[in-house]
Amino acid sequence: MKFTLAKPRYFFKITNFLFPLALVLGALCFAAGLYSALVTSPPDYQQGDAMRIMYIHVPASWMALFCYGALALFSLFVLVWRHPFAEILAISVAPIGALFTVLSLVTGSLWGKPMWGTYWVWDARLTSVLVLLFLYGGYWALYKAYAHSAQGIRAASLLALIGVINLPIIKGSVDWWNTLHQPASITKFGGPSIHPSMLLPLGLMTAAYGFYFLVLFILRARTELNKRKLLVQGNLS
Amino acid sequence: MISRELYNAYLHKGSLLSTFAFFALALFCVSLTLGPNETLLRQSAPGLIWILAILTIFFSTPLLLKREAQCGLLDEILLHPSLTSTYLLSKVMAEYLFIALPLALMSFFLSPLFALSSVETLSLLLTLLIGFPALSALGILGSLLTLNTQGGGLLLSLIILPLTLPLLIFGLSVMEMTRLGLDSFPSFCLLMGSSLFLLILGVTAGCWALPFAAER
Amino acid sequence: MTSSDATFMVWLMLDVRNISLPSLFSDLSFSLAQREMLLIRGTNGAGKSSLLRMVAGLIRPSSGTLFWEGQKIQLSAYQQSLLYSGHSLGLHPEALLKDQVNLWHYHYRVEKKVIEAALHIWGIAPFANQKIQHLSQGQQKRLSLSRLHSLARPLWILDEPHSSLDAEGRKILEDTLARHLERDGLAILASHEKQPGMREICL
Repeated sequence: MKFTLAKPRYFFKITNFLFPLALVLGALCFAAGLYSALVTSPPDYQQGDAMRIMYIHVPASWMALFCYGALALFSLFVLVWRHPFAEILAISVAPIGALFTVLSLVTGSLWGKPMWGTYWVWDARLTSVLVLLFLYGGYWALYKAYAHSAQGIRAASLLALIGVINLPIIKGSVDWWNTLHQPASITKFGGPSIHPSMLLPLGLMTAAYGFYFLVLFILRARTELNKRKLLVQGNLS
Repeated sequence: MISRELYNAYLHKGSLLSTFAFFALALFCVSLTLGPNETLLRQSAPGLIWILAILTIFFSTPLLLKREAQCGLLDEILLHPSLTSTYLLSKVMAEYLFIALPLALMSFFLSPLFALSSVETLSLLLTLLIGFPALSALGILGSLLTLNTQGGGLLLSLIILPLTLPLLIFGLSVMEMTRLGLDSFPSFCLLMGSSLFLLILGVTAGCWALPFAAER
Repeated sequence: MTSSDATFMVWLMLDVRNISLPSLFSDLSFSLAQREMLLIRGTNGAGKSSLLRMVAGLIRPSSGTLFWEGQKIQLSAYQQSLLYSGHSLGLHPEALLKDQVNLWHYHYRVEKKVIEAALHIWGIAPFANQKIQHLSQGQQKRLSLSRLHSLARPLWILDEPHSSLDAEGRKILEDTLARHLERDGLAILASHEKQPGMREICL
C-alpha cells in the first residue's frame, strides 16, 4: 500500500513544478511557431500557401503516434506489473491521443482537398491512421463498458497492446503500400529534403504540441488521481 | 480436448441453425436491395459477402461463449491442466468446422444471386476458407474481452473490426484481380500470411484474456 | 507404505496467508489440514464466492500467497488436486444427461463406469435420456455434485453445496463429506447459514 500511495505524491510534487512551466513554454512555442509558420516561412514552390497546414498536420500525426506508443507502454505496465499508477496514466493519455488523431485526420483531409481534389482517398496511410482512431475508440469503449474499471482497464490494455502492430504499418505505409493501393500517398518529405526555413516552424510547432500534450496529460492524470482519492475516502458515489 | 469442443458445438446445433439462417437471409436482402443490375451485383458481391460473414461470426461467437461462461464451463477449462491455447485452438477448429465451413458453402451456393462466374465463386470460396480461422480466433478473443460487459456483439465488432481489415483488404484484392483476369497470386499469399498472423495473434491474446474473463 | 485409493499418503495441507481482495477482505489467513473441514460463512455479497474462487486459483489475489503441501502453489499441479464446484454448475443445459457423462469422460479422462456409478449414488441415473435444462434445480445440483464421487481429488472447494438440495440430497452430501474426511480429504464450504459442528470463518 505504501508504494501505491508514495508514487502519486511524488507525481504531484513533480507536476506542481512542471505544469506551469509546460503551460508557459507551450504558449510561447505556439505563438512563435504559428508566426513563423504562417508569416515568415516561404510558401512551397509547388503547393503554394496551402502547404502551411502541414505545420499543424504533421506534428498532430506525430503526437497521435507518440500517444499510442505511450498508451501501449502503460498498458504493458498495467498487464504485467499491475501497477495502479500506470492505469491512471493510460486512461489519461488515451483521449488525448484520440484528439490528436482526429486533428491529424481533419487537417489532412482539408489539405487533401486542394492537393488531390478530394477530402478522402482510401490510401494506406489514411486507412491506417483511421484504424488508429478506431483503436483509440475501441480502447475507450471497452474500458467504459465494464462496470468495474479495474477489470475494464485490463481488457482495454490487452486491446491496446494488440493494436501496436498498427504503428509500424502506419510508419511503413508510405513506403511499402504504393504498389498495392492507389499511388496518391503523402510524399511530403519525398524528393529533396525539407528546407531549413520550413524546418524551424515545424520544430517549434512540434515543441508546442509536445508541451500542450504535457499540460493536458498532467491535468487529466491529476484529475483522475484526485477522483480516485475521493472515491477511496467515500466522498464520491 | 478437440473431441470435447466438437461435441460441444454439436450440442449447440439449434443456435447454429439460426446463425446460418441469419447469413442466408441477409444475403438475400442485400442482393434484393441492389437490384437486377448484374455488373453492380458482381462488383459489390465480394465485399458484401465478406462483411456479412464477418458480422455473422462476430454476432454468434459471443453468444456461445457467454452461455459457456454462465454455466461455469470456463472455470472448468481453467482448472483443467492442459494449455489454454489448446482449448482456444480446438475452439477455433470446432468453430471452423461447424460455422465457417457451412457459411462458406452457403455463400458458394448462393453466389448465383450475385451473378458471379464460376471462377469468381471459386476464389470467393477459397478466400473465405482461408480467412475464417483468423476471423473465428479474433471473434473468440473479442468475446472473451467483452464477456463481462453488456455490449455483446456490437461492442465486439467495434473493437475487433479494425483488426480484420488486412483480411478484408487482401481477400477483396484477390477477388478484384480474379474479376479483372489478372494474376491474383501475390494478394493470395498476403491473405494467407495475414490470416495466419491474425490467428496466432488472436490465440495468444486469447490466452491472456481467458483468466480475466473468468474473474467476475 | 501401502497405497490404496482411499487415502492420500502425502501430508497435505492448504495454507492461505494474508490474501486480500480490495473492498471485500484484507489480510485473511487460515490453514486447513487433512481430515479438516472449514466453513466460510457470511452474508450475501460478503465475498465468500470470491474467496473460494481465489483459493481455487481462478482469481489472483491482489496480495498474499497460497501454500499447498508446504510449498507455494504451482497453479496447474495444484488445480489437479482440487475440485471446485461453484455457483454455476458447470453443466451444458442443451446436453442430455448422458451427453454430459460423455463430456466429463472426455474432459476429466475418467471412465464412464465411474461417472455412472456416481450418478446412481446421487439418484439421478434414471434421467440419462433427459435434457439437463429440463431437470429440476435440485437434480442439476445433484448432477454437478456427483463429480465429488467420480473424481478422486483431495481438496474440495464447494460454494453453497446445500442450496437447492432437498433433505435426501443433503443427507447424501453429508455422508459424502463425512466419507471424504474419513479418507483424509480436505474440504472448504461456503454457506450463509451455520452448519452444526464445523470450524468456520466469518466474513
